[in-house]
Amino acid sequence: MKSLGRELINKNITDKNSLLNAYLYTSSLSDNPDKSGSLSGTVMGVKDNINIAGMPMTCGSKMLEGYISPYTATVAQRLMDAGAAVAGKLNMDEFAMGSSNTYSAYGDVKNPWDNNRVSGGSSGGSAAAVAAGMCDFALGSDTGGSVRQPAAYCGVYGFKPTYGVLSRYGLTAFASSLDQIGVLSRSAGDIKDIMRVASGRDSQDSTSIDAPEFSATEMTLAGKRIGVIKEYAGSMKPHIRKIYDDLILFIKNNGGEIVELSFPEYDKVVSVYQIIATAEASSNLARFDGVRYTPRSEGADLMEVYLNTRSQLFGPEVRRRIALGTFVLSRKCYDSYYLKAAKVRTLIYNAWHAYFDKADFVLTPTTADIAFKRAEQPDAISLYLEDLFTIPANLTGMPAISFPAGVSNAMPVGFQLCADRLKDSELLSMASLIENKFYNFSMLEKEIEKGRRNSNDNL
Amino acid sequence: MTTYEAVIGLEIHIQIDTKSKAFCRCSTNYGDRQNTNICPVCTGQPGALPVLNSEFIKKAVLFSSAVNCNINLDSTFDRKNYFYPDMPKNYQITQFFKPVAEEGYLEITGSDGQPRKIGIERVHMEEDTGKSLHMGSRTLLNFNRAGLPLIEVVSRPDMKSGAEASEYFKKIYLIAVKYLGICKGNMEEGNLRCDANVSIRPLGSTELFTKAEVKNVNSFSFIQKAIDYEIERQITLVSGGGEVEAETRLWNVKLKQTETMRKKYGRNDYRYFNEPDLGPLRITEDFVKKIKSSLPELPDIRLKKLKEKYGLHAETLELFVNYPYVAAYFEEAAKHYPAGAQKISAWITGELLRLQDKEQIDTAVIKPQMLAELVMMLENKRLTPVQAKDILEIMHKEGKTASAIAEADPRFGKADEINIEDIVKQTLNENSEQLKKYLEGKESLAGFFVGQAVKKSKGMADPALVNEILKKELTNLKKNRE
Repeated sequence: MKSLGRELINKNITDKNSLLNAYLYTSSLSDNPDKSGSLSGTVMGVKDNINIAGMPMTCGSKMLEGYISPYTATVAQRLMDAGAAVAGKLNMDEFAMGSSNTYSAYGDVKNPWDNNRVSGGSSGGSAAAVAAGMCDFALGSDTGGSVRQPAAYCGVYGFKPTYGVLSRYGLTAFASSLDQIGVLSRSAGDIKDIMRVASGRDSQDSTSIDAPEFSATEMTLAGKRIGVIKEYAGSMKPHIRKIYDDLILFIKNNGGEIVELSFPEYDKVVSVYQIIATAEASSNLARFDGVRYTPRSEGADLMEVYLNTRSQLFGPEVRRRIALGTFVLSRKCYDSYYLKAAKVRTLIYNAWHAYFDKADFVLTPTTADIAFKRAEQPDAISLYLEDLFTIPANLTGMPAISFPAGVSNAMPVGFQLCADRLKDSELLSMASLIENKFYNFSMLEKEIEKGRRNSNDNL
Repeated sequence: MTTYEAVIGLEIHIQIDTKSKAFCRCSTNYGDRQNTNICPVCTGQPGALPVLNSEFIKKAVLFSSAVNCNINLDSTFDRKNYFYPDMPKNYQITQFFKPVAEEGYLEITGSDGQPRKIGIERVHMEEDTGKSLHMGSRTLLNFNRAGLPLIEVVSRPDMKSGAEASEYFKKIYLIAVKYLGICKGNMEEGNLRCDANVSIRPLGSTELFTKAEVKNVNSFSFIQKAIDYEIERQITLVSGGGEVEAETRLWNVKLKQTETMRKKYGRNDYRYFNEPDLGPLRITEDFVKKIKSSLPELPDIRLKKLKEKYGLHAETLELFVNYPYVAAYFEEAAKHYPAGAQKISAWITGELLRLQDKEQIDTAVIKPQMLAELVMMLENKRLTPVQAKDILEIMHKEGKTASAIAEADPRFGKADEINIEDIVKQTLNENSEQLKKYLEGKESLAGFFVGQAVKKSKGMADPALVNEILKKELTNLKKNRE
């Protein structure tokens, strides 16, 4: 994996970060001792909900203002041991709850291609930093699409592995049965190198599993069956649809077969996700209460300390989700909400599992449209519906990657490729094929630049 | 006037003695400086995850088997969500939906003197909380205890009195601490904690009425007193037209009464759900079989065996059953001298335990076979009782065997080599005045003659033997007079 080099990365950070607000904390790169290893010389940015010992960790929240991580997350440690240096901690939607990175207590992250537009979230800082050359790759976290959606908005690759392949030890939990650390980069080819180092069973994470082998074998399209979900066809805007059609043509021209699939439960996906994710989050975020290691808002008694601290130091979106999660777990509601959602989750898993009898991969949009303007941000509930295409991979635990496929209105357009559980290596190989033969970051950069020059010429 | 009966159930928390905590590698050592046995996991730092301690499951399954439970090969870990400063995560990892063991029982002797089975509804695994120390307006928190492994033993409401509850608690203690060694058994350190659920109902009814919880009564005697007080309180209340409230009460040791701690409005909603960081727990038949095969002989079986095999009486049996190491000592000694088993048991309870702490008997200087040899020598009349006692003390001090001591020390010359007849005759001759008085009717002087004879033998004569020979001699003398 090639690095941009520390000098250039440092320059990019200096030049761009005050505008983009991707990094909340930068470490002095000259401090990182050069280690030899397969990732030696590379520089990574780390989402600010992943612990790096000695560095601050805010999770985008006032609730962890001043917190210094007492230990390093397993995945980060493995990468550091292989030679990757940590450039700093990346901005994010508070406690990973959001699809815009406008819910951070430390300011919005701006989209590098258009500063009036959002970067996407919750790993907004990660996506922006990668797109703007402020690191070689970044770690994010993906619970309902938080790596893939900002990757699509920022024109980079965003990969969420099979659940359990990357250890969650050291990742601040949002929804434990859905969370995975994800990788963002400017090249799909780099991700395999990263996964080889970082993946695999961790004795400190009981949900981690043995990693599949990330082999170097190349992929071909000939004879591959690419599934497309017919219920999604109508959800693409015309300018997105055009790029999608180009991709379908490319697939067919290279010997791939398009297979139509049906996903009748698609309209349950967001509800199931919201119920399960907020339920688990309401429990995972209970520890932040002003008592042990967070800042404290004082009160006359214990209850007041809890109420004051949590209402003052959590932002409105976090409070909204904790309230919802508490509600769906309450005794009266458990059966009709949480238990039911868990059952429908199984149906969704079964549907997707069945797809891979008929197809080798499933192709979907990552988002319905390009990154929206900050001034035109949808309301909270509409924003939840944004996650429709990315959520299934979290509910099923299957691997998925968003890749840049074109440009529309001078903004990146990304699509998503999904595979069956433990087919992470094959998925990355196919993404590499698309990168090498159809479209990639370099082409995206040039196309957007060209578009800018053209519109400038027209002025 | 309605007669009421009491309905009592106990929830006992047992701290399992493992080297490390339930879900992390921190030491479980008691008394270490506050907040030194902690890590990101047991202090609930962001990003930390639990990993199950395998010794914990083994000991949980071992105990559950000892109380006759069905072991669930598949069980769940679940989160019990509530806020409290000594809860690092503000949820406790426990087993709610499906515990590791269910449907067991423990036999006690009921208040009517008859054996009765007390049902055990479930045994489940969970983690302990940290400790709060209230100091005026401040509360100090120590997380050394947070994450320690606990099993909770929930009985069915089958007990009917404070005495029965106390016996049940004692037996659980005995099995966990003395027989299985899965708990250190130190009540001051909180190794076992007991909460009682108490309600009453008209005699003969099978309905269950509102219960009050009596919390943290951590001694066998207090449990009995607190429950009996609570029963009386409820009967008085209900007889007077009142109603028992669902509440938590604490036992006030000084005033000897239970007092309201907090009222329970409805039931607490803990929003239980499966712990996603651990997934379901699955153990195999083989795993369970292996653990069951390591069960020691349990108290009830041991009691029966000791009674039938050795005919020991109640007091001795109780001691042996309550102190399995003493029982083991006895059985080992009896192996070396089966015919003298009863005598050996008397020597253990009467003599050995005066010199030797029964809690440390497994490291006693006097080994079981050494005691057996001593008793054998006594039974064979090689030694007198007085000699044997003296030798025992020397054995305890110096660790030598009885035969070695007797060989080396002239004080312990062979008792059977002494001519007791001669000694008796000499004693009577030397005490002719007293002899005259005896023959005239003062028969109480017999004891005096025995004492003198034993003295004359320098303690080597067996007083019983002396007495026998003296009687013969005195009878002859009496006859000769007539």
